[in-house]
Amino acid sequence: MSRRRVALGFALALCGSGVAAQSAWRSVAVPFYQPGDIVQGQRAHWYLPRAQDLARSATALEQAVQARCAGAPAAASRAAWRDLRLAWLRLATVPVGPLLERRSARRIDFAPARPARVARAIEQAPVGEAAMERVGSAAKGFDALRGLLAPAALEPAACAYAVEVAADLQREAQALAAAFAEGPDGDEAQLAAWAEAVNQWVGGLEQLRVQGFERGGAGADEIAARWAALRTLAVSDAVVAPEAGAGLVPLETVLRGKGLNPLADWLVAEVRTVGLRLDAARRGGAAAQRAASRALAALARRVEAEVAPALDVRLGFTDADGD
Amino acid sequence: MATERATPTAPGRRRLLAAGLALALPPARAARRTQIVAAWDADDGEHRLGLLDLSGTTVRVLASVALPTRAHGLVRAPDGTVLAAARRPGEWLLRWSPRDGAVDRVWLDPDRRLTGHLLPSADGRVLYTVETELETGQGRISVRDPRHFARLGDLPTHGIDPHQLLVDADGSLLVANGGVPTAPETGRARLDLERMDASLVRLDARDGRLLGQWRLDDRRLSLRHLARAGDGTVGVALQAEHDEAAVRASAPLLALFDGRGLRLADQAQALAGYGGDIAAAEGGFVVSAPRAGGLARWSGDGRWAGFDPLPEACALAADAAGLAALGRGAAQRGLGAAAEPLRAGTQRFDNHALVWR
Repeated sequence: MSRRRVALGFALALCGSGVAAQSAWRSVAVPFYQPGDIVQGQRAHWYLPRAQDLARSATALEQAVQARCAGAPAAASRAAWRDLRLAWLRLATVPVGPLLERRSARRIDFAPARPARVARAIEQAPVGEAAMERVGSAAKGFDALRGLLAPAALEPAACAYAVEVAADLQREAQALAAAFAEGPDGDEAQLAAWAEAVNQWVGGLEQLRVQGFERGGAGADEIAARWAALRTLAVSDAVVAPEAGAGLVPLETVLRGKGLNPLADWLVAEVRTVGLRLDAARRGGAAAQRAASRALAALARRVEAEVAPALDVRLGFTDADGD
Repeated sequence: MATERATPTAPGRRRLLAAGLALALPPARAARRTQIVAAWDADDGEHRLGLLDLSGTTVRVLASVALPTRAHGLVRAPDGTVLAAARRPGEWLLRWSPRDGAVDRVWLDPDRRLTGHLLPSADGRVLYTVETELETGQGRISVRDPRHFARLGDLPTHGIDPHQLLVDADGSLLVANGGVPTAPETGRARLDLERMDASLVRLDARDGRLLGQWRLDDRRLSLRHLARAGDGTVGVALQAEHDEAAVRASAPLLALFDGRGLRLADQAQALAGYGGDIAAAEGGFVVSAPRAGGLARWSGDGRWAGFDPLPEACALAADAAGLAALGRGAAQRGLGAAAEPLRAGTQRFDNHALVWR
């Protein structure tokens, strides 16, 4: 398979196209993928580009906040915050590798931020990386910056602190982009990374359900960004499966490579159902939201019960065990 | 901490009447009435908490409420409601009234996760919840107002992965630190079992001061669930975390704490290394062993007393009147030769249950 084809399949996956998943598997053999192939594909073709998107968006936000403090309209900085937030969700919905090692969510995604801590940080006026390291998570990160950018007019001290928070986000984004350029090395590390990827996919699905529909508060665009990440890592829109190590290998394709086509077909159908339920929830009321939550739970349950064992992965997020 | 009040999922009129009639039964029949509160996953995958009747030959659901995720610790509040904690890494606490279906739920602050159980103080004025502080990974006990779960104070557990606690007569707290390293970002996945450090600790409830700490020689046994017998002996249900499957399969499931030290109880058979729940009942201890498919029984001094087969046995509810156990598709009242079997539905019950009288 040519690199061009891989690129085409990836583009379709990003668009969330309704093209029948992996439609050529009946006539074109799907490779058997080793854990290293899968992990390398995920890192090179999903996580690294998403981390680079995050870094670019973070730079844009930092510039937008600086411009705001110099008198630019508020809307641009808020739009830049929104772009960065969605880039973060696409990257971090299924957190693996550097996202976990750096504990990035704890560093920059503490929500709700604590207004009293933010007010104290504004008073202390930290400047630079070392000073921001001493500011607690509850006073920086996405939610703190959202609050800082909310007023129509910003006090100079608050604006200066907002610039520092944006710069802090940019540093973390840059560090993630650098870290995702390196993949796990060696069979043992790759096997562990593969198990982590499956575990975290199930965990990401559960977080979408809880934050989107049980706890509430996540907006439609945040739900869509989370789902786009989960869907892309689960099913393929590529016509032909990538060669080992040459592209993103979603769960569906891994299953087909093992000859588990009925399970792969089920996964494709179930992901499609969840997508429809999420669309309906965006337009509908409480009943549609409950249906979406149930569809997500049903998908998680069967991935736990059947897909993970078929992939020889032991789950830490599973609902099937006790405590 | 976000608070919300859900629209009550009131039990149906017929169920309320049934529950009311049961409560109104004369003492002779009321003694046979067995009602318990438990949580489960329904066939459609929904997580539920409910009131069950085990008086007849089948387990009947009298009333229930949907939950955001699976529950774990359950306790009866002094006001007669049920308090439930989300399973670890848990984010919500819930109050449910089986009488009228009223529900209050709060979501935890983002720097904490629940890790198991909750318990009112002896005077009922505060509620203890077992948690992990995300920044440090250390075990904490939040001291909360039982009316609305607001955090009033905070105590260290002097360990990681705290799971269950008991309140002693002198007001001190006995806490099982499960000791298994995990991170909330990766669910219940074990991180590095070489760092495992399970312990039983006694704390001064006023300031969290460590009054005692005890460990088993086998550092791969996680101390998780606690029950106190009438003579004060505490039974500790264990979960094995050994690397080798054969060692896990034959690992002990019960330790006893006499106030001075921990020791393992005798065990006559392999129990698959997983104790799901523990109860002090009929003068001894019972540990549910879902992976071994039954209830393991010991005398109060730790001598092996037998095994009652019960498929996927886990949740136990015991009081002076006896014990009830829930399994998969089956349940039982009583123990050993006197056990009375019941049919249960296809729901999958969680680890714990409460007698409801």
